Amino acid sequence: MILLFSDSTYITNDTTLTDVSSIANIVIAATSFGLAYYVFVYQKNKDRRDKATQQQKEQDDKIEATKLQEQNIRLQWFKELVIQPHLPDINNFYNQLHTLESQITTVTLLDQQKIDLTNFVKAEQSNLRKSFIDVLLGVNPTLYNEIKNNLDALIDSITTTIIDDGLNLTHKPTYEREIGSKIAYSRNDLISKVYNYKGTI
Amino acid sequence: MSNIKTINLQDYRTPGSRVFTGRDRGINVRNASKIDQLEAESDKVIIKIPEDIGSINPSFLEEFLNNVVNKLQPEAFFTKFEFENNGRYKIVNDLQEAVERILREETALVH
Repeated sequence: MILLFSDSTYITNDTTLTDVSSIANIVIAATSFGLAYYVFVYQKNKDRRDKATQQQKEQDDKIEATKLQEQNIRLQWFKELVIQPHLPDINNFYNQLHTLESQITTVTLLDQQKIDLTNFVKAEQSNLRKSFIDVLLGVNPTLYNEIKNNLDALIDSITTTIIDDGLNLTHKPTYEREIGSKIAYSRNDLISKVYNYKGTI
Repeated sequence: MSNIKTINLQDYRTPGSRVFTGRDRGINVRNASKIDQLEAESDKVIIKIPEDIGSINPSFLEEFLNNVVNKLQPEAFFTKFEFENNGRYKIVNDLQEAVERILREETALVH
């Protein structure tokens, strides 16, 4: 087709096509360069973001590991300094409360007997507070309050049963229902709370 | 003549009951009796314990007396407060236990 035109036309058309080709090459090269630059910048930013995320994760993992280690240390100290030395006190407290059954020997208790029995359980609670419960206050105030509430509820319940209710506590099922089972529940609850303590402040 | 105020626990007892127990009850009686206000307005406070009472537990006393014990501290508290206690039940040990508990917790909170 080009041969049909005059020489000048041929030259003009040839020049135009060359120019178009050159421009197209420039555009393609520029686009390729732009794309390459975009990919380079994108990748660089992505690498930076990934690195920052990785560093943050490593830092979080390190903090978590430190926390866990501190928690384990606290839990170990809690076990060795608070629980193990006072296990005999806890056992003694509940065993003493169970002696109420043998101390209640008459169907109708005299007022002075009722007062003596309640003084006995309150004295036992006071002993346990001084030897064990008060230590918890410095370890974990929440645990301290939970265990104190547990013991107060038990002692208040026994006090009310002995003083107010006028029940025949020499009758074994009645004693078990009103006092024995409550002592057992309190002990289980105390053990559960101590067992579930995770060393947190 | 010193200014003396009286709180009669008879006015705050649960009908039919001969015990004062529980922290909630202690807070209720503290508010109802206005013990904190009476302490601030008087030189001496007398707390009358009904003669037929069988027990006033530390759980009750701890909340009932919490503010006045913390404010006065033990020596001034025992000087300013008098317990009229003529029945079989004697409050001394339970009162001592409650005061110790209040001070123990206060000390732990401060430190």
